[in-house]
Amino acid sequence: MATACFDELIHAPNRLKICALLAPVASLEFVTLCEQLGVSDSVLSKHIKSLVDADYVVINKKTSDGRQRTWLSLSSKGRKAFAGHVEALKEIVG
Amino acid sequence: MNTTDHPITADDARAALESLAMVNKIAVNSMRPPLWLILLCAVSLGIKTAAMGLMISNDLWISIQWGSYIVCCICIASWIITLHVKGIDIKIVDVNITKTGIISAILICTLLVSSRVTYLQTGSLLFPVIAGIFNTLILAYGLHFGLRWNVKEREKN
Repeated sequence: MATACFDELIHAPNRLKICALLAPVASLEFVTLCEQLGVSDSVLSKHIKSLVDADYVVINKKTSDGRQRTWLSLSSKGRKAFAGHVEALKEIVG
Repeated sequence: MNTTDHPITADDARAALESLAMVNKIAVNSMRPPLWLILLCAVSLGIKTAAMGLMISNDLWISIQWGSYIVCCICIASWIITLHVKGIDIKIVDVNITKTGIISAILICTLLVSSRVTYLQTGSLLFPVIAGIFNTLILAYGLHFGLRWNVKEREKN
C-alpha cells in the first residue's frame, strides 16, 4: 500500500485524470489521451508539460508508418506520487 | 510540490475520487477485448483443456490441442496489437496483479494438468470435458470482468 501524500500538482482535475488513465497501462498515445479526456491538444500539452517537469510523466516519440506518434507513460516517481495522492484523498474522505 | 497538510475539504476529496472512478471506467471499457474475441479465446482454451486429457496416443486430439493453443495465442496477440494501433500499450506483466487474477490463473493451470492426470488414472472422458467447460467459463469471465476486478481491488487497497 502506498504512503498517503497529498500532491497539489496531481490534484488539478485534468492532471488527476491523466494520471488515472496512465496508471493502469504501460503507455498511452497523446491522441488517445486527448480523446479519452475530451480536451484539446493545447490543453493536454500544458498539463503534460507540468507533469514532465516534475518527472511524473515520460514522453517517448516513435515513428511508425511515416508519422510520428507521441507515447506518454507514468514514471515510477509519478506512479508513487499518484498512488500516494489517491491514498491521501481516501484519508481525507475518511 | 508535495505537501503534508490537506488544503481541500472532504467533499472535494470525495468529488476527486468519484472522478477517478469514472476515469477508471473509461480506461476499463477502452481496454476490454470485444465479446467475440473473448468467446473465441475462452472456447479455444476449453478445447485445449479437454484435448490435453484426451490426446494420449491419439493424433487427432494432439492436433486439436495444438490448434486450439495456437488460436488462443493468436487471439491474445491480436488483442494486444489492436490496442497498440488504437494508442494503448498494456502492461504484459502487471506487477500489481490482483489476488483474484492469481487464483484464476492457478485454477486454469490446475484444471489443465488434472484433465490429463485424471484421464490417465481413470480413463474417463467426463473429467477432461468438464475441466474444459470450467476453463472456458473462468477465462471468459476473467477477460470480461478482470480489468474491473483489478480496479476494484486497487481501490480497496
